[in-house]
Amino acid sequence: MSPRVDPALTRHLLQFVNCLRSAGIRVDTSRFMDYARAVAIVGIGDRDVFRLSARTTLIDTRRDYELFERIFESYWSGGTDPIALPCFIHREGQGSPAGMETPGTVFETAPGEVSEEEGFNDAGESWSPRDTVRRKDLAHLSSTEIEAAQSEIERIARYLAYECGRRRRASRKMREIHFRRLLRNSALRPMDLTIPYRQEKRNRSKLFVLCDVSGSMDRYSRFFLHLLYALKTSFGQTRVALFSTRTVDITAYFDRDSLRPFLDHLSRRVTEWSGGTRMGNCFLDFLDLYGEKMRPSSAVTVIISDGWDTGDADTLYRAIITLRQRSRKILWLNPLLGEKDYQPLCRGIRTVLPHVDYFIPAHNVESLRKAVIQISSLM
Amino acid sequence: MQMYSIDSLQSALSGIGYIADRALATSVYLAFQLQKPLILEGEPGVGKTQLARDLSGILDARLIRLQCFDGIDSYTALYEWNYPKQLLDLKIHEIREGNTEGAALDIFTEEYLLERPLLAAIRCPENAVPPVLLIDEVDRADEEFEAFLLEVLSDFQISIPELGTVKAKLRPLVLLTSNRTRELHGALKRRCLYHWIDYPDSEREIEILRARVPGIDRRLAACVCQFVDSVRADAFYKKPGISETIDWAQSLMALGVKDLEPAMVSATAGCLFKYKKDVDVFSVNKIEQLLERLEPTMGAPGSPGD
Repeated sequence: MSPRVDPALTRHLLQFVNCLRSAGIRVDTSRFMDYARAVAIVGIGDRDVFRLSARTTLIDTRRDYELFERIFESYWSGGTDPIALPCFIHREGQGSPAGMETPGTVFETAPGEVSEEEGFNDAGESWSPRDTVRRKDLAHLSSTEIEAAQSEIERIARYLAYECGRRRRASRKMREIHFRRLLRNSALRPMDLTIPYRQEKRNRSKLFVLCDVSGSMDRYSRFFLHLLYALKTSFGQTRVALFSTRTVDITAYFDRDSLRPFLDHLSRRVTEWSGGTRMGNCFLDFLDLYGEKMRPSSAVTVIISDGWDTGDADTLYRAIITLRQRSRKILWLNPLLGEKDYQPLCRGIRTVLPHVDYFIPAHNVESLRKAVIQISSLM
Repeated sequence: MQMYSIDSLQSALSGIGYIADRALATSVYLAFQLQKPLILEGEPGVGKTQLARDLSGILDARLIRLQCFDGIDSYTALYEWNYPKQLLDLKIHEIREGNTEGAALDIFTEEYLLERPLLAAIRCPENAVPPVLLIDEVDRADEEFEAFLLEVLSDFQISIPELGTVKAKLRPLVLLTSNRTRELHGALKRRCLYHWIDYPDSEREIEILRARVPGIDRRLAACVCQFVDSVRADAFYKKPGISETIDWAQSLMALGVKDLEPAMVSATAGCLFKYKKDVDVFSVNKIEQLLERLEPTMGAPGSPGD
């Protein structure tokens, strides 16, 4: 017969557990019962043991240890209000961001920029308007061309969705004979001559995207967001975060029904599109958010950035090493790779490049198409 | 040994050379008393697997180990039929009996059953001490395997279609370890108690060294542990675990080293780091920097002893 806890003490234990719950720590009834049984076994004489038995029965992740300690101290010593969990991850000692640009600019169409190109390339051959839009650098598109570019992007996404579906149906790879089932069938149903096969497990890769939305990426960001929005149906499990000085998780916003509400919602919620980028800190924040969901056998990480980094190089090194450990493949999409004379010289890129599997240009619609095909070949 | 209290468990473990802190002893004690599995999470090399070994030692219980890997399925963990033997015996039986309708050979008996760790844990005899079941590196398995584990761990009962239901007469003490390469499923965590094992602080690591490396010089042990502590605070790809500290201490002892000098530390870097990129970062300059951080009474060559 297991020992019982005094009802008055049980009420206290429940109140304590409710404090944990209101701070964001999930404790279900079965855990609470374990806690109560544990207290009945160890008693309340030794404060240390009392605390440790609460921790081992109620907390199921190391991340919550610190919060648990604070709540335990404040509840069992003074009964003050529990500290609420911060709802946004913030690295200590970052300081305030440099300048706060209004969010609207990213999502408004650019002021009309008349194209200098007449539609003829160096060899004097003429390009169709669609070719022009495909090959022109995204930062230099005029307002009319932007719309055309966006519809090209949507076309890429639709094609990809079709391709992904087709690939699964059409595959007729050699399959293994399922010996276990074969023997069982032959014992149970000797006249059954069908040979059971074992199907190969489908590769269920998960996509994790980090998109730079700092000042230098301003002109490109909307296209990348558009692309990501359009791709969400093809790639299933996708997690997207935007970063500049902080990391913002926008995966939940992808549930909007169409592009316009998605962009509107983003521009209202994400209020930091400021200058410098702190890539190291932002990557570490991203790992805090999603690190545990990234498995080395299935995570494909895509970083979209021009590589300009104003943060600490050691932090960036640490962050990219951890990302490398957690990902099967890392792709870096860089709009600057479109420039003829571009050399990856800046410190951010140089730190990260040795750990990246694919370094791909992403400056025009054509390069985006190729990048998307590359990503899908890995999924 | 009977688990009478947290303190007796802690002292029994240190008797065998496993220096556990009070928190870990509390978690193990409660896991035993509440008959719940215990999830041990921590960086590689902090002593999760070693705990299971030492626990089985002090409890005089059988240690049953299930090593998880990517792609492990329920058959590898539970049981498998010996198909080649079954096919062979069927063939032999067929030849002996000819093509007549003789008595069919029963190929689903104990003789053809390959018992795997989980089944072994369930079928432990009643008069024995409950075994210690170690499910190692469960984060390397996939979610389907976790769901299967959940089922087994809740009832400790499985049904083999050909043989019937097998129910455990004694509930084993279950330890699951994870290197935190991914988050375990909530349903599994809810069924278990949880404990995060951190790297030990230098005092505790000195005790561990003195327990595991008999005859080690007290000052050397202190230097080694303080040095490794500061290495762990630095940014390396893979931080050295406790077994690396032990290896390093043993190597230094074998080389007759009394003080930590940069050249000697650099030469024995292979004991602490197993990745080239870490060894490259661990240059003589870096070592000197780290040595400077040690307390002035230890580590500096030629300083007075204790």
